[in-house]
Amino acid sequence: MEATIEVTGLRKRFGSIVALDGVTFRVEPGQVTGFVGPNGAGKSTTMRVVLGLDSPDEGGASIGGVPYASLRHPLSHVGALLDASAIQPSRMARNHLLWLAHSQGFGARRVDEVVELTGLASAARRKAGGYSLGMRQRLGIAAAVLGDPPVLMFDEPFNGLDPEGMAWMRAFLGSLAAEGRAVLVSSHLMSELQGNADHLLVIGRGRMVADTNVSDLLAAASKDRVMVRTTDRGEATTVLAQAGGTVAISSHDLLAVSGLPASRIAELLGSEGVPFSGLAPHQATLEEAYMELTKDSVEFRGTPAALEETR
Amino acid sequence: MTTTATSYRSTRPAGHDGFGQVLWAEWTKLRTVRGWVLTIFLAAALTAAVPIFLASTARSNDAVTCAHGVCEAEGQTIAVGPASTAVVDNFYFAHQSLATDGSITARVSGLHGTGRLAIQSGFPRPPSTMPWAKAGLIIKASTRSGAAYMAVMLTGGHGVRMQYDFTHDVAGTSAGSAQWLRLTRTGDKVAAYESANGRQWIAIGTAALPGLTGTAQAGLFVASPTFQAAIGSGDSSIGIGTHATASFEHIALAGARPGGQWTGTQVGTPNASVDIKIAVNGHQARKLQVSQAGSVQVAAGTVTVGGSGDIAPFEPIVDPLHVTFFGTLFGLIALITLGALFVTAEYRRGLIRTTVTASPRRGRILLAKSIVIGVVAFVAGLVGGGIALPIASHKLYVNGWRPPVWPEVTLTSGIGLRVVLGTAAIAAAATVLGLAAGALFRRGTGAILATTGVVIVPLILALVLPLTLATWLLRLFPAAAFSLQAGVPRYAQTSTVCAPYHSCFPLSPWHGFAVLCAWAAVALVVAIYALRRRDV
Repeated sequence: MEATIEVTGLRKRFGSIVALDGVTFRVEPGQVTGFVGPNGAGKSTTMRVVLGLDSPDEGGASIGGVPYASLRHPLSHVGALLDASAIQPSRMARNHLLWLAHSQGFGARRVDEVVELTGLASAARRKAGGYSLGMRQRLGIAAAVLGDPPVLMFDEPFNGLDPEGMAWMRAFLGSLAAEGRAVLVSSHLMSELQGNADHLLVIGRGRMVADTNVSDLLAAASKDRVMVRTTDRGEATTVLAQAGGTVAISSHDLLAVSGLPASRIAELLGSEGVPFSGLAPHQATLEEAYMELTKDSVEFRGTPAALEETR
Repeated sequence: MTTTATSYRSTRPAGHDGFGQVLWAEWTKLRTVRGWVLTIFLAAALTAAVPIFLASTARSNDAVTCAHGVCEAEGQTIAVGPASTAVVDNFYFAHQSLATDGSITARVSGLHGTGRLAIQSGFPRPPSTMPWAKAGLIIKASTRSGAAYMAVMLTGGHGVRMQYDFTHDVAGTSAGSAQWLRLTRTGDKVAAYESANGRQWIAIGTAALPGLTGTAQAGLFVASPTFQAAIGSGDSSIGIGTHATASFEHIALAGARPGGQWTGTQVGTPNASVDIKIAVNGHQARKLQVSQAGSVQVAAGTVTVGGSGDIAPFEPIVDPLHVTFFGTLFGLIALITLGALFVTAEYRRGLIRTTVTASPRRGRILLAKSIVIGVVAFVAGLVGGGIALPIASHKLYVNGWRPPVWPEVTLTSGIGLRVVLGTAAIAAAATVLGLAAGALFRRGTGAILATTGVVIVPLILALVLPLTLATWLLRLFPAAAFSLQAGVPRYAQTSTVCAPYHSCFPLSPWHGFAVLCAWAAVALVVAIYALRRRDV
């Protein structure tokens, strides 16, 4: 079976709230796919539909072409972490993994393997209720990889992680993708996916805003912009604007110029005697690319900050 | 980055995801939460400890009292029957001696209640003829109250019956107001017959009576039992003695001394009196009017007999083994809570999503949970009840609840097995009901309240509501199942008031249990349907 997630035309409403409004995408194997959007955009609902937990009003989802509900030993096909706090607090972490293993016919040995893999070995015999959020995320990851599945879905796995945990999580997700697995990672913060996601799905108010390769996106966002450091911001702006460039003020001594190649900028400023100390092609951050991508999207403007997930 | 990467293929052997794995997972879930395991032990401990404690403090304050050869229990005159159990054996007997082989035949007619006693208005009134008023033929080892007998009779409301040795009751085929009856004795075997015309005879049955040896007494008898009714709710009841007469014609006696005369004998005591028992705890009987004597008149081939009383097993109103019920009650509260939490804890934490993700065929999840929790509750009930019964039963014996009135219930006796297995079965079914409620309500509090509301609350309401309403509650609600724990045998051929106050349930044990099972099954089916339809 191919390691893909396919989602086609999902629509779902909860009462008067439209949670999903025609969500369509495909998650490919061998890469980390970021699933980004503000809280309440429909990321978790989409994931629940993929797992057969919620039924959509329209559309459908499948894993390698098969609806989740029809999968035999499902945890060997898809591993998911939806909510790191979905544990019985009084149950030992290891026993949480043990019942899950038993539900798939695996024994305790597999549990010990994933405990080792996620770095929980020393804490496995503690009650899960005493775990920090970071440890719960690791426990959730351990549960997701229990069946060694080719498809993985993680909902906000970076929540509650310290920098060290963040680095571990990035490396772990990367290594899962490198093995040829399809890895879908949701986040409401683009920065969390910086340097990690290979592909990006952007969702807002239940609609797909973008479905793009990260390297292309960054190139497009960086394209043709040059950062100029100058002590005479006013004069530089006038000169460059007259020459046909578009100038944006980035900070008190930094200008972002587009529409003019770097060599032409240097030539113009030099001939007019405007002092400048640095001239560099701009490398956009994912965050900037995201803002660029969504600046025209009405859905994002004036979006209530806390349009909470309905569930 | 390429989008045509080779998909990952696991080298691990694939697992299994049959129903067995779902069961295994649910069992692992249950045993890995210490609080739940402790709850199971607590339930078993309560089921065992509460009855033992209650039995050790429950002194019998109205055990059997005997004076001048007449014994009373719960205000009724009793005798000891052939099976060494307490019986009621009071009737008017017109009899002659009968050799080891012989027979008696007669046509019986005109059975009707007579001489209704005036009682205060506002109390329930007996029917003009009691349904279990009896008139017929009897062969009895002697006129001693409690002696072995075989009788065939016409009854006020239950047609022709063959009854022998108090506990045995066989229905005849006809229910006419006039009937030919015959008893044929061969040694200790007696056969009963009925006929509509005195020519074609239908055999009702034959029984061997171990106590019937040598010369016996054969003849005509009439009895009319005490009318009993509950007043209001609780323990207040009224008992009114009744009297009946019947005519006997075409009497033929074979095996008797030629030219023998009918002798009228009051077997036991005449109890055509009004007893009003108004008691809160125990039984205080107040006799308002005493005895209407039995009679026999012979005129032109017709013998008319009048009499009161009953020939039946003695059913004690108080069931001392009711103590097991209280243990089950406490144990059940723990188990129902556990059953509900076994599901609602998952909803509370969102763990249900992990469960459904691991087993997408959702119906199996609730089925597996039910089996796991049901078996565990059954074992807890079995252990608790198995410990409680022999110890509590022994303590009750020591405290005066003993034969002949109250049976000594051992673990291996019919009643003992029923009580212990019944405790386990009630625990299992009620816990599954709690689980199904948990899956429906998805909230622990609601599920626990709803389940205890239908299992336990009707029992409490039955104590305070009027008898009719109380009886219906105990027919319709799962509480009916507690009749599995009845510690005294109940018979159809008696007229005792079935008072919920004294743990008498309107339905028989297994019928009552079926009510509980129906509730649990329906709730489970609805819960499975809901789980399959709803988003989790």
